[in-house]
Amino acid sequence: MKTGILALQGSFQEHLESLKLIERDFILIRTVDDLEEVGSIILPGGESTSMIKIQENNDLFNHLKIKILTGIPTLGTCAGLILLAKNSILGKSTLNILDCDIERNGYGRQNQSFEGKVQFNNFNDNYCFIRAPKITSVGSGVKVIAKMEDEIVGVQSNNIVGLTFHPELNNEQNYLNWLDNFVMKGLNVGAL
Amino acid sequence: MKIESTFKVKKGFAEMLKGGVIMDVVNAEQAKIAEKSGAVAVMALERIPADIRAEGGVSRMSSVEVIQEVMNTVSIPVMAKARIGHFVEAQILEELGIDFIDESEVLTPADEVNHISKHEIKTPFVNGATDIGEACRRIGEGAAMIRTKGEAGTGNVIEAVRHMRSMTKGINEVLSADENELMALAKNYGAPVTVLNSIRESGRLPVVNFAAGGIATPADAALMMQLGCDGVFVGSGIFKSGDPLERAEAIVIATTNYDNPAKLVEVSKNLGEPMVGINIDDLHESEKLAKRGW
Repeated sequence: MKTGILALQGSFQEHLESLKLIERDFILIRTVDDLEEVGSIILPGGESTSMIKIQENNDLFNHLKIKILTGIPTLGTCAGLILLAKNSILGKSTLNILDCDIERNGYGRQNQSFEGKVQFNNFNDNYCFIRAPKITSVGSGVKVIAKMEDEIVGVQSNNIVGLTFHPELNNEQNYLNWLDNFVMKGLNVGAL
Repeated sequence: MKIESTFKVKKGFAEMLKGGVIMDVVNAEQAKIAEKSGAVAVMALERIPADIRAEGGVSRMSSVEVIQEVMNTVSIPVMAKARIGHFVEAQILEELGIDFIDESEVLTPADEVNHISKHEIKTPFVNGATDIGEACRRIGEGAAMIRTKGEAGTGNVIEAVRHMRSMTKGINEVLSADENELMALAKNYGAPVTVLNSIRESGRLPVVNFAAGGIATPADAALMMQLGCDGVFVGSGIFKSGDPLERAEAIVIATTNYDNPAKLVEVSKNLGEPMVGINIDDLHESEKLAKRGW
């Protein structure tokens, strides 16, 4: 099975580089047919409003949601997290499958974008937060897996992980090891 | 510990716009249409390039009111243009909290020798380029994103194609060069050798490269994507057409599905009238905006 990267718009090329570095097969998801041979999913950073609009054209998100609900490992970074969260944008619902509240552009506009030190799983590194969302509350059964000082910047609920920052812009070894275990081998899926 | 506005953050923001369409808008109403159509960002300006071309006169940074109105209306990123070399317009845009500054040849240049030094300004910059030398000079000054200049306001894609082909040719030349040839190449291009080194490391320009200038149809957008651009700016092409929302949506879908002809057929139907185009040969040399920039 391949890892599918949502490729409507955004940093899908960077996620593709991550997968190349850990030598995994991938497919870019643009249509419903692309979901067929997918065994794990990455939702990239980008503009969530644009992605929602572009997928309407072929009803992709309804099929994507069904796929994620089968329990396959799913990672969303930044806009990807916004799409996963229980949320609505311009009055339209997102995938609505990760029980946390999100404030879009929680730190402000681009001038307030920054690099910050994040404790992620059992390692830390400086990651980019770009017009990043804030996780303002998490539901029961949702585990915090990344923090910047006291702030929650990453969560996991069973097979679904959402991060407010961009590990795909670093692609350092700690993250790649984590990615290999989570998205590829299905380790930690629902077990944490 | 947070470090704001590092080059990595500026460049990373441009990466997030990839595969998307950035649309010129002159008021909040147009900005709403652009957002609704799926634009990844809007460019707030006082007059779109086709009107600047028609009306003439000195063209400057947009009014603060227009920019703020657009910023308050949409949740997607908002860009605005500063004149080439006009670092005070850039300071004003930075203070306004705009998300990206386009140091643009579409406006009347303020300096006929120098561009803005972009490192010191928190807001990331996009600059136009006609070839690899110009792109590398802008990156050397701190640009976090490059776009083709094309010939804005003409609805004619030929210049954007020329600039993109020239860029690709230059990159291939840098990649295939012997290590010993690199400094001579840098001298020829008028490009910092450090930027050429980054091209050799990554196999591409070190920052995102969008298409701009003359894109008027979904097919134009897909053409530029197939030529290797990372995304598309559409200036006059949308709001000078018969049905702006339809056309904007079609260009957005075409940019994502640039290599899918069936999809391109689907979105090219029922679009209404495109903007009226201008032949580049009919322009006087002094009317060519792509000549501005040094």
